[in-house]
Amino acid sequence: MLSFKAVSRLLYLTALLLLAPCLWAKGVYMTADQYLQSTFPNTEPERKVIWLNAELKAQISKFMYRPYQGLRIRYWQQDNRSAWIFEEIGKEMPITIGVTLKQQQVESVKILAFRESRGGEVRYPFFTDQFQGLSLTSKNKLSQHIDGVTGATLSVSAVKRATKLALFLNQEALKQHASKPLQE
Amino acid sequence: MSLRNSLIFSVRWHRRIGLACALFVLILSVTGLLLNHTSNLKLDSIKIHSSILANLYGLPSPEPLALQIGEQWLSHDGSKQLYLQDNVIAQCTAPLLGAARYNGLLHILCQDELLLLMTTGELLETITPSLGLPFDTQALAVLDGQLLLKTANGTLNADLDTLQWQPVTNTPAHWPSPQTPPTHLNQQLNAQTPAIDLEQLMLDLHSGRLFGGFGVLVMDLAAVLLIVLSITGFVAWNSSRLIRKKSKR
Repeated sequence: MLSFKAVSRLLYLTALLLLAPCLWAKGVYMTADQYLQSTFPNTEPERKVIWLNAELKAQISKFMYRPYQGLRIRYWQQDNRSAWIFEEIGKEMPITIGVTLKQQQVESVKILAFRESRGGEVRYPFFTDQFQGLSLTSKNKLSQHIDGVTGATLSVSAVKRATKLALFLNQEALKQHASKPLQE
Repeated sequence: MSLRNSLIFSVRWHRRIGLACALFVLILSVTGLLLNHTSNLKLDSIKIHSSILANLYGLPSPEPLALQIGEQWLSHDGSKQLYLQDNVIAQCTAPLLGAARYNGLLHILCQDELLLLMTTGELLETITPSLGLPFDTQALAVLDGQLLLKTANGTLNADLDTLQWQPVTNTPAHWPSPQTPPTHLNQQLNAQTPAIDLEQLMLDLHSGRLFGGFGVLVMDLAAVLLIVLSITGFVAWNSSRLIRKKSKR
């Protein structure tokens, strides 16, 4: 017969096993500097700023599903590659997401910091690699479907929104650059 | 283990576990029922003002801070909202650490956030540690045409064009620090302290989050106990069924 002590131990172990994924999810995996160094190795990318007018903010709000605060967004560029860093809330806490674009396509998506208690699986390559080569459709949607991650729906959605935002802003930056010198 | 022993063992543990998790089952059932009908009952529109709940949620008891910039008062409600005079201008995480006008912009330093606002009060940009803002910033000041940040590791000159933070030796004799607001502002800020809605309370009671990480652990344990309860219940039923069958033969 199982003693009370043995049952207690069993329950404690079960609780630990249930909680383990939550404990592993949080963390800062890369600083902004490390991300930029890995994106533009041995070179100093140009620091740029894109200004948002009311019309752009309205368009952004449509696919971000929230009003966008702020009038300018920083990004880094070298030749035809650009890097964008956003903080997007998954459920309650901001996820820091780095999106690298080449021309008008996604080169890579990296999770620099994850602060939610669950959903940290979005940082793994099996998820982020799905974004490679994607572009933005005329309806401001990603050009291909992204498979979700069970238990990380809101984090997946946050990463998708950030990627769409990077693609959208890159498009706008190119337009602004084509029509006039980019305001800084 | 014989059928009889198995029955005694499972019934004994069923009783013990049932008693141990009775309260949690009650909480889970009542909150679960209410949450299932949250929209019909409009739980999200029922606001609760309670200092006990505010403590449990870790909501800062309203300790607004304010700083005079020129002739205007910049104040923070101790939670999220920032006001310039009577107007809400932005949100930032408490506490308000400092503010100054510099290069025609209003620079506001909060916990791990540096907000840049236009003179009109419109938010220009928020600089966070993800853009390189040093952690542990403590105060902000303008000295000799430089925007200075006080950090745990010394004073830094903030170059916000290049996002560079260079250590400097010249420090202001006095770092402007936010104070308790004047009475008329304080009353207004206290009146705007956020309340907790009943839906949130039910959700957090259901998950145990109301009592922090420990509460979640307790609710996890209650859930595991419920699983064990169903197993011991099944074993007890099955053992007594088999005993009855055997005795009939």
